[in-house]
Amino acid sequence: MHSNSLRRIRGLYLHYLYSVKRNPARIIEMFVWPAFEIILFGFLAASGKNKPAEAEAMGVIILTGIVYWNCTARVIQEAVAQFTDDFVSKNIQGILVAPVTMGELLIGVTAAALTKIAISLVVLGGVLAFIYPSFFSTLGIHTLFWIFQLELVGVAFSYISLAIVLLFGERVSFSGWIISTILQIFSLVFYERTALPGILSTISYAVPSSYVFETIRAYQHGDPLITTGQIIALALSATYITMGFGLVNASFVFAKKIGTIIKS
Amino acid sequence: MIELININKSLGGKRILSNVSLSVRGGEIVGIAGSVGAGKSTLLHILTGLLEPDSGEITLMGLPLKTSRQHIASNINYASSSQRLGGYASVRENLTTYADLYGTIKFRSVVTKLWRFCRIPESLLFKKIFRLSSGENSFVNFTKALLNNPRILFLDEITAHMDPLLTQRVLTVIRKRKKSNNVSMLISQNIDEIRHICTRIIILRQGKIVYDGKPIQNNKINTYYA
Repeated sequence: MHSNSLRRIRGLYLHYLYSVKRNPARIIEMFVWPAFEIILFGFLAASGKNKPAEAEAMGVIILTGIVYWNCTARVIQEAVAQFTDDFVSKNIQGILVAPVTMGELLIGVTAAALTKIAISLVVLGGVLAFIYPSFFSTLGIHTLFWIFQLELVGVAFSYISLAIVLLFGERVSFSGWIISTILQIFSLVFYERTALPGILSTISYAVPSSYVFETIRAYQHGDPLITTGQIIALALSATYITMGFGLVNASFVFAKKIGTIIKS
Repeated sequence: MIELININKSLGGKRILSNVSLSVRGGEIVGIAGSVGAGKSTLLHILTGLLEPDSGEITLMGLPLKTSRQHIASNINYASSSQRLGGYASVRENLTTYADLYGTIKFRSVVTKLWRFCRIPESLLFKKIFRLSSGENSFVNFTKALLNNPRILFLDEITAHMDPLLTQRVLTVIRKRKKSNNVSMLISQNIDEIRHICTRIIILRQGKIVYDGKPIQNNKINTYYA
């Protein structure tokens, strides 16, 4: 990669990190709400210890789902929030007039979003250690791989959300929330694939995160790790990232025709 | 330096620019005037590559904009008074970001030289963007636009919120660019400003160029607005 390109990526990365530094609304969105979720469901899981085994298991499933789902959903929401901020301020015009390629812009957005998620996960981990310390007894090196897999899914679907924002501007800033919520249904975060009726179950096969959550649950039940599912998840994520990149580029071309960028 | 041939653009079913053709040579300072909705900003957006024309050809520095955007973008810049950089970041953080985007090496010296000339205190560097007054914000955007010492500079109402003294200094900076054969193209509703600084005026009315020539008296300019 050319040194100028690296410098532009650094510039974009820092720009998106600065955007959250002193922004109370974004800090609350990134840390406070997820922390509340962890506290709430951490206590739920902890209270299950004094109840029948099924109740305890349910509490743990919910808590695990929430912790891991953060890795995907936050990447999507964070990337879209960063990008939308630039639309609102019209700063996007300055960025797109500069010699920045769409690839550099996406790398900058993604790297900044992943950094914020990493910080957020450390904070949430701290909260979890306090509320429900036994959660960490199930962790291992594979946990990092699951987080990586789920973040990849987040990156892929954040590109789809960004393409939508490029096409329609800041008025669709909610697209990150909508996409992550729909994705959650098919990701089998809290339930088995069989819980989804007919066509929904079929669709879930095309969602990479569904394989990751199946693996996590199987591992928690003491079953061996499902390697085939992991490979399918990786392949699907790579496919969606490539498609998402193409979609963003196509949206940019179309946005220049219909004037979304200048109307922002 | 700039060649436009038969540019047409419609947005939302409304024709914004009609068969706009123009040619700008190095060293020119071109003022674009016209009433609200005449197509001034659209023209600048097309020249910066933010908007694609429906038809027509654009060549900047001898290169077609459509296929050489990356190279052209390194040598042009754009600032508008309505634009805000990253709101919660400081002026310095934002300018550092843009210095990275343009590959500017001595960004501090560009800022120091410009700000000293315009008598802007360096303390402004540490102010958050959302705390800037409209005039300060325009000046920061202007600074950003000069970071890469662009061969072509596009400015949209950049002095609109600045005080008269700062406006004069900013206009002097634009005038000085002429010596290096650089082109500056600015939109302004302030006819006096355009008349005093520009070597050429283009007046747009309903998306068409109705005047293209040397600066003329205010009363003559007004006849083209009607």
